[in-house]
Amino acid sequence: MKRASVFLFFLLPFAGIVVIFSLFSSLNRVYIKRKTTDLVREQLKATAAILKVNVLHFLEERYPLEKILDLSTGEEDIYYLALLDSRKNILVWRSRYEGYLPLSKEDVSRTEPWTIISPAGRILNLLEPLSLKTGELYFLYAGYSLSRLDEIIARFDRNFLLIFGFLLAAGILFFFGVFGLQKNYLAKTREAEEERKEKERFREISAFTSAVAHEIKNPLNSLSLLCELILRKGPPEAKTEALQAKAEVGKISEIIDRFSSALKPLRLKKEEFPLQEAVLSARDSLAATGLNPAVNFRYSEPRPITIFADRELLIQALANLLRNAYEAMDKGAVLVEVETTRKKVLIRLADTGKGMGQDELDHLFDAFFSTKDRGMGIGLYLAKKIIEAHNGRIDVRSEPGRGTTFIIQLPGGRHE
Amino acid sequence: MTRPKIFAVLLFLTVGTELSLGQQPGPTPPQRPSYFYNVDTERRVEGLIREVLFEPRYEDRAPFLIVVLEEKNTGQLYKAEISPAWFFEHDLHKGERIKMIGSFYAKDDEYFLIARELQVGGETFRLRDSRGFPNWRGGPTKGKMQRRGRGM
Repeated sequence: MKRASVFLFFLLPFAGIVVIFSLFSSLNRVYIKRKTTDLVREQLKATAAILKVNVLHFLEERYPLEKILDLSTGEEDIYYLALLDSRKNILVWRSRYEGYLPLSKEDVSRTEPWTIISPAGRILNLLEPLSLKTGELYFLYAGYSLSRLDEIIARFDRNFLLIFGFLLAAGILFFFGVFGLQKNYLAKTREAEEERKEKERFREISAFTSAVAHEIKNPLNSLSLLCELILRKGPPEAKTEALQAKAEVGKISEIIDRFSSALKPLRLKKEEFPLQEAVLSARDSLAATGLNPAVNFRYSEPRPITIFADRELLIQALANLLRNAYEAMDKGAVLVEVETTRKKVLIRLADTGKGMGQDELDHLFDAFFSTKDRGMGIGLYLAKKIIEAHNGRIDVRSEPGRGTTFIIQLPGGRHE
Repeated sequence: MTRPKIFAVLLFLTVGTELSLGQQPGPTPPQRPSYFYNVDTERRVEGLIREVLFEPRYEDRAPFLIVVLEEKNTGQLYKAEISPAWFFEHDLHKGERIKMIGSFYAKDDEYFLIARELQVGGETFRLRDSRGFPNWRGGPTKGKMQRRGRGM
């Protein structure tokens, strides 16, 4: 799936959900706010109506105006209260806040309740006429706190923001999760595709090489026998050339064998054996072909370790790595360190040679890749193939001028 | 029982108690002056401080800082109510020039102001909002900046 598709399939629906949620929630909030406000207003109007009845009663009973207000200002929600005469002049007033009675000349003509905003919150203002039986007219002015309503609305807004934030965070996390999975999946698919192509290419090379090897080996055998015959029955002056010819035939045969073994699928014959034995056998096999005496070899293991693996193949892999190490320097040292952890064996094979650059490292284990004049690019490829056939892995660290270290990890292994 | 009903019952109980205290012959004039912050009488006055006083202004409230102010052009004296003494920490001095916006009222040939905003010593102090709500709401425990009414 491409990035654009990921966007279409995941991000767009998520954005849609967020938008729909916001829309519904906003509409819902507006509705609830309006309903709650209406409800609170109605309740306050009912409270005011009762207050009005009581104040009217006091007026009818000729109570002093001051006393009427003192009797009427006990309600917690009332911020201020005032009695006005028929011409709407303020006669008496009480306020919770010093000198605060926000009734202007514009307000006195109002017939419906109105709301003002103060630092103490919103205040619902009511101006109600009070008609006495004697025909006298008074007005009652009251300010009711809407702070509780404001608190409810603020809490509602907070909850909305909380849910919205949570939804957004969850969505983003989900999206990144899906995106990550998708990215992983794409990388794995690409890797698998490359692997498939590589296998295909190798199958072709393998088939071709096997055919070529087969075709060459037969005449080579004949050639070898012919050389043998010349050695036995030929003139003595031809013996030296016959020996050289036989050696060259042997080299050609060896090359063909190495090619063939590199391309054939590996079949492991596992057995338990000491790891030191395998390392030293690998070194000895190289010694037979002649090793640079200026290069020191050291082997180190804290305690003897045995491993369950294919002895011959492991020796072959180690020999290839050792050959690479020896050929990397004119003089110096090759150090092989072995240790076990709980589940695996670690083999560190370090040399003090010329080291490698990143370009070389990138292709180090590729088949037929070599920087040597006489190299075929089979050794390290085969070493990696053998280690991986054992479910192990091989890594390399190198720095130009400071040497190279191969780190082999093999499953299993134990101390003897 | 709903809240208004409870309120009504409580109110009537209170009324019952009060009724037994005796009835007055009719509505009497207010015993306390109705000096509130009236936005309709707001005016700007500029002059010199003639006196600085502390007087109780509101029932059960801390004493207020009062300034007797002589208007620059007319020489008229105003008794201006500033704020509770604890709220206004700036030192006012006699003879200091002061500009004030406040609600005006007159009583017994005396002129009074309830200050909303004042400028003194190069600083502006906002004491009430545009409708007269006191900025010292919350009491002396509020932050210093809010106490001083600065921020202009």
